[in-house]
Amino acid sequence: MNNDHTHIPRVLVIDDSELVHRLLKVRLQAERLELFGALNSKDGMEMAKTLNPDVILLDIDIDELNGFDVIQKLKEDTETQGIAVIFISASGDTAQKVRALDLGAIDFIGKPFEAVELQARVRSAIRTQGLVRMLAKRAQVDGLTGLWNHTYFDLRLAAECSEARRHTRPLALIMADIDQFKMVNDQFGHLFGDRVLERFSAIFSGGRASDIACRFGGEEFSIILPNTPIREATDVAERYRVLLQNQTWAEHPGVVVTASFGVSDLASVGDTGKGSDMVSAADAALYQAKSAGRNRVVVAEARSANVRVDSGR
Amino acid sequence: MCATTEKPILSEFASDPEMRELIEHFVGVLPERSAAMQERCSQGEWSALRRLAHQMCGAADGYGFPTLGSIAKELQREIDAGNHHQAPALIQQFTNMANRCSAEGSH
Repeated sequence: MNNDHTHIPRVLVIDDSELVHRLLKVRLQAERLELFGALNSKDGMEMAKTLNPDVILLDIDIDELNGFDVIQKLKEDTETQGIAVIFISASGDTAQKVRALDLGAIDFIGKPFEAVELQARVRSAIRTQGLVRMLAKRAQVDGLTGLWNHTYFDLRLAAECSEARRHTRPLALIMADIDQFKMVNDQFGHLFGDRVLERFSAIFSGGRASDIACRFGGEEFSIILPNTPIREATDVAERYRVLLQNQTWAEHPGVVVTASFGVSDLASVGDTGKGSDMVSAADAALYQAKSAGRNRVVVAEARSANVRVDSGR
Repeated sequence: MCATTEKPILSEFASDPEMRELIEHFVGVLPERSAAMQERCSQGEWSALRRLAHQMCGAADGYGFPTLGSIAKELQREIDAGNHHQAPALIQQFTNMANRCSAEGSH
């Protein structure tokens, strides 16, 4: 997740005039931002996808695709629809300004732009964009643990499934559940239960940077492992299992908290398998881990969610 | 550098140190842009000519040469209206004005 304090805002200029790019570069040089430029609409839309800028400064009259066409395409694409767009144009036509705003632009700056006004408007757009992104992120983050929540998990797993199939890459999923968590809560109190959830989440957060750890609900967690074969995912789950088991608890010395793990991958759910099938397969494996005595990792092997006990205490 | 005996036209931002190099660059590319407009016009390449005029009207004001920008804007408008016969005179007007634009005063 982005740390907002270290995030340097990105601004992409889409304008067919190299002279305008030079001018904007100088006029915005004192601002805390990274400036990128595209001289045509095609490059601009590609850069919008790859750079994911905070703000786009968009000319109306660019080439065969005008600025209105470009913003419509940006707003239709889930990857780019959240980018703040400011139109910059020499046209003072009110109808064009209204059209730009109706299509989703957040501002309209007339050329020639006053340097201080341009800077203030870009700063304002970046500030607003930061707040919008923070709110969007908060809606997808679990309040207690700071991990991604179930809503985000569903969206991300579907996206990762598509990516994995498109590029013929492996994709694995770990489902984890803290053993006898109700008993932990009942015996040591809910505050301690929360401490266990936080500690467990911290273990996941300290894992591989490419993995996506989510709180699935209650004491259940899910970790998406892009570009990871099932054998490697099993090793990862085993490391988590051992780490949790070895935790010491200052409030209750001697208490050992464990978790059970189910692992599945895209291959194990067949050619037409979806993210939800991976979840079902990993859940079935997790259920087997619980039935076999808890504190162990079980791997789902095939579409029918056959399971194999892989490791344990 | 002023290429005519008429009074040079200085940028409205000539006293802005931030703009010094930009104005020098802008004035430096004007002869090439004027020549490109003349070439497109003589070839009847109206779409390309319109593009050049559009780029110039968007930029000239920003570099502090609004009169030049106005001529470019008029050229773009006439091409949009299909009045291609107006283009040679406007390009000549643009070229004359461009020749008078100077980066002096921004040093």
